[in-house]
Amino acid sequence: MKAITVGLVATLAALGPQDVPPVFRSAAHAVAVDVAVFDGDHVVSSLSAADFEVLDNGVRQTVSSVDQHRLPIDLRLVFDTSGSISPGDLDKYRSAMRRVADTLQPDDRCEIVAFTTRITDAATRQSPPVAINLQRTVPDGTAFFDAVSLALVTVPSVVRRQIVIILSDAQDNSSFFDEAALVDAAKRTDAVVYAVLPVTTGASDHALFASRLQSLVLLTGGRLVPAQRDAQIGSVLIDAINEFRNSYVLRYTIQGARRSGWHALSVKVKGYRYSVRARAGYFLG
Amino acid sequence: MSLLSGRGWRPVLLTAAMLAAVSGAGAVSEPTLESIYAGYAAGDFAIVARDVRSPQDFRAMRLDSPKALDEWLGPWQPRKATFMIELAATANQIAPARTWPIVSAGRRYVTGRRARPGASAEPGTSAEEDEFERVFHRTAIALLERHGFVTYLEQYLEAIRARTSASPAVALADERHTLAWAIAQEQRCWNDRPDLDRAGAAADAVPRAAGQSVTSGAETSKSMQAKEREQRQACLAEAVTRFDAAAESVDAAEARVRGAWMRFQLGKYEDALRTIDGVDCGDDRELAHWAALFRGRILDALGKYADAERAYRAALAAAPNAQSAGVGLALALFKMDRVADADKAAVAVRTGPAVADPWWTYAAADSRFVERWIATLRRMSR
Repeated sequence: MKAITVGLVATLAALGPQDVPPVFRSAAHAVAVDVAVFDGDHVVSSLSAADFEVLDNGVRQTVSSVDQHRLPIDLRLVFDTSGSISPGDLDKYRSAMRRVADTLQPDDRCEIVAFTTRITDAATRQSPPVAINLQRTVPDGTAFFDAVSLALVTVPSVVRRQIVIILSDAQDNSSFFDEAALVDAAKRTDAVVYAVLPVTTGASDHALFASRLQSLVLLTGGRLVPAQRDAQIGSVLIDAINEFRNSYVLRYTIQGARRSGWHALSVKVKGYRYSVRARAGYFLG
Repeated sequence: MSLLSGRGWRPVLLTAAMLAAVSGAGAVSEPTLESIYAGYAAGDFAIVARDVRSPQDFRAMRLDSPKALDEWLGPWQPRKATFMIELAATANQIAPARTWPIVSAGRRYVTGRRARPGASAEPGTSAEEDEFERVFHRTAIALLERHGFVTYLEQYLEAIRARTSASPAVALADERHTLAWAIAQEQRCWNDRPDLDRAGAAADAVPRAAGQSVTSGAETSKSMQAKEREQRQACLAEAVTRFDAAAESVDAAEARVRGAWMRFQLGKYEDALRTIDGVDCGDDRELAHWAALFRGRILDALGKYADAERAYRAALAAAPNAQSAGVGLALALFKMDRVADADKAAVAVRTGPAVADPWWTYAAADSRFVERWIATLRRMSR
């Protein structure tokens, strides 16, 4: 995640949802954090800035604004289409992609990435209607680390929100990069990452790969979603997107902890035992 | 699927084999060594790939008995040795486990030729004969490297070493064998690489630090990894030793590039950079790509992101649109907060032309030369 100059926030907030020029640095950094709040399984709505307590590197911050439901989203779907995925599953994926694309708002944008050993766009970044062309590419293999690290390269924007949803068993056998590179990219991305893990691998491996995905999603404030083999993948994806839309964007200007490097974040709702999900921190350059 | 198993051609060949099984089941007689070699000896070099199309075909050739195979080989004929390599190359693609019995029979045939009827010159007395044997061994070794058959590879190299270390056979010595000895160790480390298939303790530490829970599977993973990582460090250290020995030879470039990559994986970044800096890759574009790619990764690990960017661009110059370097470039730019450039680089990876990335053949080592070396053997055995 990138901290954004305060003045730029004010300027860009007046713009429509569109591409944002490069981020500039100044002494005063504004930070935007995606925060999901739950009471049990239910999303908690209608909270205000005063309801949140944010610690940035242990220093209490003043939340200046809260958005919910307002900003369009940039959705990046990342599908593992390696050889372990059957032709039937590929058809399910195509169907799921179309269902998701049909639910997008006019100002949203969507990009669909597919990977085996090779990483390709099944749909380039575009607003609806989304043209999808999913083909399994050769050579076979699974470049999970390379594909997902690349998918976390995002351009920060104050007028859009970014979500990445990965559908993969998280096995890897052909990446050049590794888990450390993926963790680093997760620390730097603006996107909230959801991971859908098909329950197809053996019990032991499944726990290990689930751990790998869990680490990734927790860093970014997302969630790991196990999907049974007969699950409607489209519904699973749409639920994740809706959950993301219903989450809050908190903004604050960093106070008292402005050093470069990793900033650990802690977000709570004052006075309630709500479950709060937010990214573990962000990287300040 | 393993990186060492020659991705790319396998699905195509399997499809071809399945189609053949459907369309010609029962209509074509099973190939025999005699029938295929008869065509090959007559100059039909394509016959092996054309007539041997499935693992069943290899079973039908009864290659399991070394003694029977040696008897079938009979008097010394260079073309028969080349045939064995071509048979091994085909096995390498559609029945990899058959590679070893074929290349080891071929090695016995070539190295024992003096004792056979029609024997040719003693090693060291005919440059052409010596060169034929050298290329034969290189090709056999490359086929074993393609699938990471480490034990067989070292067994083969030991046999060659025993032969070439004594006069007059020392004339057969090949510096590529020293490199192959090091590659065997690298492949051993690769085969045992825990990062590939197991969740990492490094990543587990992050949610822990954030006060989040991790699964019990991760606990198992962490303890498994501690032991495996220790073993891997020892494995990599041995690989460094072997590559350093190989780098003493005249053709040191690849040994240095691979040695640097081992050092990187040991976390010895400065040492890795010293090893790889200034390597002259000549006109070997794949090696040039690997060198620049690894240099980028090393510089990245040292926090020298601008230098890493230049290295990844050099890798892309050596192999345009190579995915590994494209990913590296995007991530390096991202770290420098040049997000628009990083995004552009990432889009280029995902939408660029479908080209073969030299990284995909790195683990398979000298198998990239197999076609060229087989052509040489064909020419020499006419």
